[in-house]
Amino acid sequence: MAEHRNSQEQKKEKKIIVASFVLTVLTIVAFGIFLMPGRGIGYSPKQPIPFPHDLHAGKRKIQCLYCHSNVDKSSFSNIPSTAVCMNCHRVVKTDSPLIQQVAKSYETNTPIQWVQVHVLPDFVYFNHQRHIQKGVSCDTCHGNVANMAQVEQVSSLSMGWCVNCHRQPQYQAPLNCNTCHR
Amino acid sequence: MSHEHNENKPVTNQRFWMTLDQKEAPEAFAKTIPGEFTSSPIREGLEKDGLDRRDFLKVMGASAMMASLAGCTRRPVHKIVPYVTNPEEIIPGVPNFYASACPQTGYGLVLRTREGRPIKVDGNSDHPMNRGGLGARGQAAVHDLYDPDRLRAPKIGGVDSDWKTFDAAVGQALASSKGSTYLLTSSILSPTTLALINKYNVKHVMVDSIAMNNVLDGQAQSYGSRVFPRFRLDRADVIVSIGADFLGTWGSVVEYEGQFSAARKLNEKKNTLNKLFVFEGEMSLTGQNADERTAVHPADQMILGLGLAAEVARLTGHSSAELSGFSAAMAAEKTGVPAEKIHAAAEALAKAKGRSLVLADGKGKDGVALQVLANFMNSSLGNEGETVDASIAPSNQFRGSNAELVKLIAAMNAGTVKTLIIQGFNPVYVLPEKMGFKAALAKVANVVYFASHANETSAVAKFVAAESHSFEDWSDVNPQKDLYSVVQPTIQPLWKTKSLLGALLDWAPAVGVKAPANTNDAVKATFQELTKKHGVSQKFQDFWDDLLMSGVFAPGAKARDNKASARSFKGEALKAAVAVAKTLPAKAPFSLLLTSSIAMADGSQANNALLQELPDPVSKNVWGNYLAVSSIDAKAKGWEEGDVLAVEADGNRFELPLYIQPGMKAGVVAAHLGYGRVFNGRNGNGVGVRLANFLAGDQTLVSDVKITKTGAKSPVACTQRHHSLEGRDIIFDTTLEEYKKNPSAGVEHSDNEVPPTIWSEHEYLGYKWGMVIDLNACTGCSACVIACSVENNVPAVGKDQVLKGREMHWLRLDRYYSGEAENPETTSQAMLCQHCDNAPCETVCPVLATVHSSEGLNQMIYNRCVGTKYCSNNCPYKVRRFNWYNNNGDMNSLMEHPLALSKNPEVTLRSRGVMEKCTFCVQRIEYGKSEAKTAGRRANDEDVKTACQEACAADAIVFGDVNNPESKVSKLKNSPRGFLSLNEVNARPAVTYLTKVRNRAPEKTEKA
Repeated sequence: MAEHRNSQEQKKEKKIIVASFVLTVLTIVAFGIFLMPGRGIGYSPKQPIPFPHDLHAGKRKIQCLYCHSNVDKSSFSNIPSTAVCMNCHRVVKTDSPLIQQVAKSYETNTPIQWVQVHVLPDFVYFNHQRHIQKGVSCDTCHGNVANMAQVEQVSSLSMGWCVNCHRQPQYQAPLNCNTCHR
Repeated sequence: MSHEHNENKPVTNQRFWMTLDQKEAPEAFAKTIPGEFTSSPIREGLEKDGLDRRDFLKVMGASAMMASLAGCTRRPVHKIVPYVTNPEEIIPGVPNFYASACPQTGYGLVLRTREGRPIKVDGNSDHPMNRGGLGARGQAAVHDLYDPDRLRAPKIGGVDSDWKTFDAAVGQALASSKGSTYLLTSSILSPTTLALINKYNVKHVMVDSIAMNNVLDGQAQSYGSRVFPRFRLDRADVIVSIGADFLGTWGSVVEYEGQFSAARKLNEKKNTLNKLFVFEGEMSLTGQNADERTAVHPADQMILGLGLAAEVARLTGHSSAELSGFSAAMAAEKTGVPAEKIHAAAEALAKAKGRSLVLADGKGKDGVALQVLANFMNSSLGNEGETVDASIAPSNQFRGSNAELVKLIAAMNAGTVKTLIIQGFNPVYVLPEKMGFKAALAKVANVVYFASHANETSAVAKFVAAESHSFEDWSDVNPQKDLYSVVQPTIQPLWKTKSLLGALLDWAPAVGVKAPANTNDAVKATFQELTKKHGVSQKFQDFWDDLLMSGVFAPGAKARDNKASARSFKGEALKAAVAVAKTLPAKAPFSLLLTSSIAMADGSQANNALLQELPDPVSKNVWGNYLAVSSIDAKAKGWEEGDVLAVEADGNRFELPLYIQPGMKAGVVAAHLGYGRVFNGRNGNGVGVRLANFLAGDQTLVSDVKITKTGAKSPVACTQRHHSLEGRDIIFDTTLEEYKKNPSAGVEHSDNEVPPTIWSEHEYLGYKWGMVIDLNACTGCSACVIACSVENNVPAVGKDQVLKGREMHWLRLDRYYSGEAENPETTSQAMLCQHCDNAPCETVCPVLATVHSSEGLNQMIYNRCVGTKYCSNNCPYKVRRFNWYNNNGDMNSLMEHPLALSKNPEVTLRSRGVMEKCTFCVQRIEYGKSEAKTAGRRANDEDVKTACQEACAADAIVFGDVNNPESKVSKLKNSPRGFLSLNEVNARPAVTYLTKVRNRAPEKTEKA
């Protein structure tokens, strides 16, 4: 469309083209680093109350679903409510100062603010229920949590990592974008 | 028919047109359509969010550099906060559904909540009135709940207070003003609240913001009791409306819409349609749906009614002396309406005795008289008891009385009102100043006002009670006789608010009234009484649990379809009505008609941006009112669209921009009420102009106004100008007669032939999603537009952006006119992403951000999109929307509380620079599929419903799995009425439309 533009506008647009070019280069570098394989692996934040999975799931052999009870019912795997902790800790190790912190949360009705280890971007909709019902075991993605004193991310959780499994013909997993993105 | 349209030249011989200038000067019109991508924030100055493009680039460049230097070693800490004790019914990530009811209309609702917050509201399909449908305002109610401008605490004398102080002060006021306490409310449907008010022994005045006084008073004069009947459009084969916009804003709209549209369905077994005649001055939604619409001046409605009544009386043998002086010919002569139009309506009515219905809404002094005429006709036609039910389930929705209000104002002025409690009604805004309400209010010692926002009335009230939203407290409704629902709260009050019922319970001790402790107990007690009264044998707790689940208690359910008793029409009422006709003022050059809009209604939801940006179903204008003028008047006066006109009458004046509305009667100008609010509402404050001062009692017609051109210009934001389809054949219509001869009549692409394609065909082995939209059932009410926006987090963008063609609606209702400009025919078409098999958008995306799924969905992947907009450029349906801004707020900070709570967590919030469009509600598809899979079966029609489909009271949208031969959609896909929009571009859409079939003589469809 032949449209009259004054010189100021043209200058402005020229500058923008230059800026865009610089931006593009920088972005490619930044994202290149950002997207390097292994991103996020090894992330193991400190929790407000150290929760030893190796003791509970490992030594005491408590099933994952005892605490994460909705993982087969919802897309979202729940972090257990304090009440679930108190099922046992009403009587178990009540003299431990850490357990007393848990008890305090229960008594004062103040939730414990755990730190999320496995974080997906907002535009990804992962569904735990479907994977559990398909028979994918928890440790396929989360690693051997029963050995972890402090939970650590063992999978990159990148799209390539997801799709690697979904591509395997024996799983008959959907490969539509909408399966995860909506 | 040639398909070789020259792209650069709009086709001039097209039959359908969108706006008048397109019909009259298509080439000039083409130039006015905002180019979809020619606009640019750079050329238009600073960005809305205070950051211009250059700064943005600098910041982006810097942050990218920082990011690369830091090497992503630190990641933001995300907290995850579980419940202390998980509520039994909540599984995080899984929605819960609660049955409730709308306190204003009594319609049954189903609220969807996530983690304890309501995010979507729909109609309850088990409710006999709305049957799953819900109008636009109801759909938008969720956003009212999370409106950050709501009052958060009660106020005394303009100062924030707490409920303890407030209750004590109001209790004292009530105790000291026994016998001189008044209660002014909108119609209250809650039996619990009404019973409590009764115990309070106060004088209770009810007023409806959109008044139905005329109907009630007309009923009283004709039959002796002031009752709003249940009009049964489902039983009416012939409907005549004289000015009654029963599909828009008159009466129990959603109920009527469902009934009306059910009769507009056609299939192998049913090849009959009802027939709707509309006589009206302005173009209303009902008029748009008419089979035979005749423009008549609102001041002439009475004469026209008399002519019609005389003909009906003659044909049914009920001729009376009162009507002897009237005839169709006489009415034709006085009103300019062709006599054959009146004859046709009368004959159709007489042919369908007992299966017809006359509805009327008089706008001037003839309001009640015209109702009496309608009642006379209904009685003469034997419709009483058949299509007019005043005994089995008459409505309680409208109980207001203007006469009572006038008495109240007199009492206030006389100083006999010491305490006045106002709820559900904003009198200072709604009532015209000349009624003197505001002045009288100053004479009342204690004014207690229930308000959701600091508004016009709260400014002059001593006690302002912050009112709960109806999703926050218990209540109940009794919208029709023997029909009850519980209003069930789905969230704790967000702020320190109370409902009227809650407050009255809390104040009860102060006035010595014995009352239950809380709203839950009070509502339960009411239903305990009701179960006793109706002999329910179930244990109460079981009954109550069932009731909360089903949402409806209808002891009269079995009798609902019986014939009601026919009341006898009082002859003297007719006499009085005829006498009124003689006193009507002569017609002036210009009359002003005040109407209600579907989006704004009484203006109480003015702060709801989704409603402000809902294109009016008739004019397709958004954000503010306008003066609708006929093309004849505009031409004669030399007025153009956007000219600001000043309208004056009786010392009142307003200025509004002009909009040329096809179908308007010459000599009438019309404008919407509900705008021009002055209140604490960031979206609605000051939008449009307040016109309430032109009202007089029940009269919405100002018979003589002076109109002058101010010389100023103000653009009217009309969405129908955007996305021009360049005159291609996008819809088809036909007539019933032609349909009977050939069910495919009107469809012009021959037998749905599939043109050859260069693309390889998709293979759908599992599901294949598709949709069918029945153009004949759709009334254009626009509930689907709001439902879509709420479900999919579609933002409103504001008037400036709409004027640039940047509205974000994923689903739009296109309105096409055909025929002459003075009285066109209308077709509404819901236009959304067609999920084409040969999608033109998919082939041009350079980054594969939009690709086809194995289930026939055209997927849009936001995180891949780089915003080239090629897809939108290449879309023949113009359904793709580009995010020019971060419409959900600044990405780097949290959204203002509690706005974030209103978002659907299952749908990504899109940021600036990405394209978006209808997904066929893929989040619902995935959820439904998952539920079905868990149950070990294939998802069926019940598992997956799109938001638009669920909202549609007309049941015009059917969605489902085309690969399943049992699904509704796969059966409808093969309907002979079916056609693919723009078949010639061979995109092979997944949406099939069914032709519009008009129930009128076929001659008029001749091509122009």
